[in-house]
Amino acid sequence: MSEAEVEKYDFQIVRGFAFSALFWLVIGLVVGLWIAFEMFNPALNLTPWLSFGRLRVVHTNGLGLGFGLAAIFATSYYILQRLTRTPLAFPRLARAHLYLFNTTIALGALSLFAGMNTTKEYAELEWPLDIAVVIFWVMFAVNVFATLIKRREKQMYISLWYIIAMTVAIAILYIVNNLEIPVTLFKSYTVYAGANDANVEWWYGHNVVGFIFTVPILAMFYYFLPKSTGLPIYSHRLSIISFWALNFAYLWTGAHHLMLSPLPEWIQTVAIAFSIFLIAPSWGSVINGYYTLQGNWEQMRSNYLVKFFILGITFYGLQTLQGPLQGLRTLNSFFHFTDWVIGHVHMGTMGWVTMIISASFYYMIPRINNCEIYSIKLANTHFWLILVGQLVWTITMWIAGIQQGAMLKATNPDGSLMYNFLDTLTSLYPYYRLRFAAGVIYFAGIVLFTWNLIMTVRKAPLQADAQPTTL
Amino acid sequence: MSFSGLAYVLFTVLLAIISGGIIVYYYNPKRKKQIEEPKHRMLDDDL
Amino acid sequence: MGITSKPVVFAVLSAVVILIGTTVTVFIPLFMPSTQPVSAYVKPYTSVELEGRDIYMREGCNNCHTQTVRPLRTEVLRYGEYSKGEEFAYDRPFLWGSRRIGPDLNRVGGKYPDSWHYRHLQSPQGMFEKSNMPPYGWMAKNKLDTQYSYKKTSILGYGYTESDVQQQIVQCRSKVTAESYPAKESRDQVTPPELRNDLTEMDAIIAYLQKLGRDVKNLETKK
Ligand code: HEC
Ligand code: HEM
Repeated sequence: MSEAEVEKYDFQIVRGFAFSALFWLVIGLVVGLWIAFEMFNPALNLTPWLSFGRLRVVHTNGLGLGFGLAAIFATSYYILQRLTRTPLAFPRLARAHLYLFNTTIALGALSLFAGMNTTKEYAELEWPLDIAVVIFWVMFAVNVFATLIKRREKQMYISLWYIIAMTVAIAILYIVNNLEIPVTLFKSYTVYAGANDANVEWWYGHNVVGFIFTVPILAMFYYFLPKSTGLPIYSHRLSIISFWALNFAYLWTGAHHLMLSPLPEWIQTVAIAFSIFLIAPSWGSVINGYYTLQGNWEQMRSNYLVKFFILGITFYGLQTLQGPLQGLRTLNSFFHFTDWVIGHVHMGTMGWVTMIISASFYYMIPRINNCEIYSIKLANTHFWLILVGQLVWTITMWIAGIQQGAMLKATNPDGSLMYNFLDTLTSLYPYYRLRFAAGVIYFAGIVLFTWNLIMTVRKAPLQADAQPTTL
Repeated sequence: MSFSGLAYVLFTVLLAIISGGIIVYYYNPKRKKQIEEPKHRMLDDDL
Repeated sequence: MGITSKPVVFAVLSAVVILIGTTVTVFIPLFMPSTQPVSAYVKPYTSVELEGRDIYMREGCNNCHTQTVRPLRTEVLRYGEYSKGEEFAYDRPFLWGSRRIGPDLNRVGGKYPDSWHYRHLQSPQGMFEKSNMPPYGWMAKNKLDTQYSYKKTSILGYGYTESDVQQQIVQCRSKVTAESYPAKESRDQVTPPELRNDLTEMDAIIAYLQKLGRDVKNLETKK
């Protein structure tokens, strides 16, 4: 590209979203530690606002919507400009997107503290905030498609497909699941009733996992792994096959969250079948990741980012084996409603999602500031802390889940129940204490992560705009 | 076989054929070079 | 050359692919009778019960309690008759939950007297030292807001007139404030004197808890 053609990429917006993500990450984790403590010591339920029932939703929304979405927007805006070799179509719209996003998340957290909760999991926000979410999503989509249409690179690389799929899917999911009739500004009722509401909700719930915690994270993986290793992805065509298979199959599987419920049985059965099928496209990406490093595995030692990516995709691979098994009726009747599922969730979020986002930020932030990372040593410590924290956390919860499932099902020789409910709960308190400790370790890792990135940009403030597209 | 059983089987076969078709199309050696090109080009998107 | 160089076509195709499974497993079932069974035994919530349900949602009780008993032997032993689709015909939203930190509540109606619930909500730890359920004593200090009760039931299509709703509220208030109310002692213990003649949020949530599974119990005894 000649000098004349060099235009300014908008990296300020990338940085704005990246640091918003870090902010919501820290807040969400503090809330997480708070509720983890409440689970073995209810003394922390100090006020209505701090009671477990309200706080848990602040935790899930703060991390899923706040941290997750902000990180996705940051990396998407970066990847989009790079892969199209085109500056963002509407930088001012993106700025408005950033402000509206953070306002929505802040109001969302406050409203959930105050108990304005629709109770539909991952869609708890009340209707005015739902509208705000739809508006900022449209702002994002406009920029994505306008930039894609103006692009200079003819063929779209894998990551762009995943960004497109996310943009389309989340719009459909969010709007359909949140159709509601307002009573007041702060209260509404969904339009669906009973089993139908459950079916719509878990179609949404599962695909939020799919199109927020999987699809855009794969976009990051497919972009930043090759970029940070200098190795091309193993197979573009394998990724094409897995992309379409994943997009097709994900939407059929929501009812595996509703096994043995009053939902018609055929919907559950179809969900089981597609859940098992999902192993194939998921492992398509895992294999693509591993084979990319073929012959270059020494980068696990020499390149500090590679271990984040490889461990991250490994946890993704484990998740996508565990998930389909959990969906089987026999196993589900044992594990459903227990802490086992909480273990599953957190290997995905603390392992896969956070590992990939961490490495992506470590690659991206120094580049948009035209500087070096503040400390690789700190990044390595961060890696080990979140790895150990996450593993102890999830394994503890798996064991707790097995014990809980077994105790709830245990019967005496005469056929009566062996344990009352409270005994099954209190026997889990030691696990809850350990989980809290693991959470502290993990949190320490995240604090180092945040610190490292803050110091990185403090060393090289605001060069992003002046910087040409070369590095 | 019951109607629903047959429907499940036919649907599965249909999906298998479609995915087979997609695989055969993309794994055709003739197209390999063109399909795999973006993975090399993305490596120097910051040049 | 292929769809990977046509972003708009690509987006449309993605939407189509995404909508196939959605249509078959979600959109079509929305209109099938099997996902919305009804039963003459299952009655809508009264407006006070509905207010209680809204408080249940506000407090996120659903984060710890499920409301769906699965057709498994030990589960039926522990909680009672398993849940049927028709029980939830008036549930908007559904409150089946996804996690049991506390026991299932779908059959809790009638399991304990009201007095038990006043004491339990006030202090679960007072009753079970090691319970991790948060105390909700402050609910008895909040007067129940019935300003929107009618609007709520009409949005939900419960078919009550405005005077039906008023009557339900008056009826419930006179029940819990009567001298003869069996739970009077424990209610007075948790309710501040100035609210003893009014409906509180705690009264409403207890009314709601006592409704859960009642219709099914009636149905079973009829059989
Ligand atoms: C932190 C989790 C938690 C939250 C939040 C919670 N509970 Fe509980 N609940 C429990 C546990 C644990 C038990 C069993 C021990 C006990 O009875 O205290 C329980 C028991 C109960 C019982 C008795 C059930 C039975 O069959 O014995 C009722 C009723 C109940 N809760 C209602 C509620 C209501 C109403 C709310 C919301 C205002 C709520 N709970 C919020 C954990 C919770
Ligand atoms: C092939 C892929 C996957 C399948 C088939 C799958 C399957 C399942 C099943 C069956 C459950 C419900 C278990 C129960 O409640 O009994 C579940 C829960 C969950 N999974 Fe997965 N899983 C997969 C991958 C993932 C990934 C990659 C993540 C996150 C990054 C994830 C996050 C979650 C979350 C957040 C829940 C909890 C939902 C809730 O009850 O609140 N899953 N999964």
